[in-house]
Amino acid sequence: MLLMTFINGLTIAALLFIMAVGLNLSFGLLRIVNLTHGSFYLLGGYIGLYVYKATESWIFGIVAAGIVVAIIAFIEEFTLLRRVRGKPTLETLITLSLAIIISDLLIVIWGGNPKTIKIPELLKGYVTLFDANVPIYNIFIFCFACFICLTLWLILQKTKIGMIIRAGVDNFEITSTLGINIQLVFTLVFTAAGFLAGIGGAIGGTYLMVAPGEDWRILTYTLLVIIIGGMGSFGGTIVGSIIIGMIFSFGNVYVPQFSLFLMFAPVAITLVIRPKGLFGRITS
Amino acid sequence: MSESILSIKDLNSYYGKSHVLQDVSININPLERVAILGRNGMGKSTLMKSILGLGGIRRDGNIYFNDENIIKKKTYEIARRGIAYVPQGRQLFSLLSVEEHLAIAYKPVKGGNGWTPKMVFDIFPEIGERKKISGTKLSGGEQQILAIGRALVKNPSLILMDEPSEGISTLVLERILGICHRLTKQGITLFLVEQNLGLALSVAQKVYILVNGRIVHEASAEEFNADKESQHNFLGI
Ligand SMILES: Nc1ncnc2c1ncn2[C@@H]1O[C@H](COP(=O)(O)OP(=O)(O)OP(=O)(O)O)[C@@H](O)[C@H]1O
Ligand SMILES: [Mg+2]
Repeated sequence: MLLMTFINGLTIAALLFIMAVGLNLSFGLLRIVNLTHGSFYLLGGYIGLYVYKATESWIFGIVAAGIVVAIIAFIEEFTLLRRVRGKPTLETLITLSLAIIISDLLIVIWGGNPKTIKIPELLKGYVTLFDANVPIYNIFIFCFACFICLTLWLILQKTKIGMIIRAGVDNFEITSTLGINIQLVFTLVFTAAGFLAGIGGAIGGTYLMVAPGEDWRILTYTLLVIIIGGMGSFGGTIVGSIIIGMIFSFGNVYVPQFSLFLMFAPVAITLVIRPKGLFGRITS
Repeated sequence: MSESILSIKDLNSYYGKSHVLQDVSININPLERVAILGRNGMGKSTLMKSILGLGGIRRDGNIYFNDENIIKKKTYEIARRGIAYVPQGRQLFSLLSVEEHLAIAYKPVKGGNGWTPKMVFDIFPEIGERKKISGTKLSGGEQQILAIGRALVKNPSLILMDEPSEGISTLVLERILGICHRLTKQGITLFLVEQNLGLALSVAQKVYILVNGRIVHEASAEEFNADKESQHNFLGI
């Protein structure tokens, strides 16, 4: 029981990491909290479900979810957010409006009943670990998140574009005085974050469910991760995901009536003792 | 067609409603070393930022760089035309190592006699020995050297340098002075903002004085050096 709760916590943490890392990176660069991110997740879930059913390939479903959401994120950044850059209130309103529009459209198209994406044959089944039967799919989500984490880390630390992103997070004006079109980098990162959210939605929808309300729930958890870990911090996103994932899992098992309270408590404590988050570097 | 590399005509700059630069006109010829002098808060940094389109400053007027009006261009486009910036307070990247500061800015020149990161490390071994640490972990003087190095390896034709003497030792200052003189031989024009009169006069050939956002005086460095009355009136020395 204890081990299984731990493994579920790790799975949620992995899912939250896939969501939060993109959101946090675009926050670090653009200083925008993209409230559309939760809708991107749910949209990814529905696209994944639809394409999976149509093609009978789960992988196609996942990839399609990533691509469609990436395109929508690109359009949001390129046509809307770009015009109001530097005006936080307008930026926030745009991302919020778009979130509501997408949420409602999803209900219109796919209805209000919860759906699930079936786990593909290859990832079905269990492995026994000590006294627990661990679903292979949980292990898959965890490994996938580790893969994303490692890939992003290598890109950030070892490539020229990663260097530019880090410089931009630090000081985008000085970065542009070096002759770098930081606007283009913004768009790229925002689109990549959308891609991850779409994939996250399809993978998460296979583990949890695809239903109205999941968009806001995941958005909330993702924001909690970022607040705890620290805005714009990569390592903080990892730690924040694990903290929130564990509280979610253990809270639901041992004190279900307090589980939401338990998730917000560390956020409140973090904000009091370290307003920037555990690893945060951006104050405003 | 003018001779100048940078020509600012009737520039007015605003932060919101506050009208900081008023009808500023400045001419800089190729390979010249020009300094802007002025006390705190007179608008020197605002002038540098206005040239580059930084800091959310609203600007009216014209800024010609090599006869092209750049006032409507984006910062990165202006930078790519060959202007480098050494900002006040260094503004290094905390997430980038010393080495990466030069790598990210480096633009090799065709023909191969421009600045390279290696040259910067050879001339300044104190930062060459600390390539892997974060740029903001260096000492104040070392940070200033790195900020200048970051501008040099861009191999620009014009460098805008904002108060390089701020908070650094005389020893480092003298080496920066050396670099400034060397720029001319390398075909780089220098536009310097300074409060340190001594440094400004030993670097620049021409000085402009900025008081409350207006250019109130223009002189050769020699003239101004001898003109104790103007020094007193404009700079309170
Ligand atoms: N971001 C800003 N918003 C509003 N006003 C500003 C801003 N930055 C500077 N100012 C104002 O503009 C004026 C000129 O400032 P600026 O930084 O250009 O002066 P400076 O000559 O560079 O001074 P210093 O020698 O202290 O660097 C000052 O009155 C300052 O208060
Ligand atoms: Mg200044």
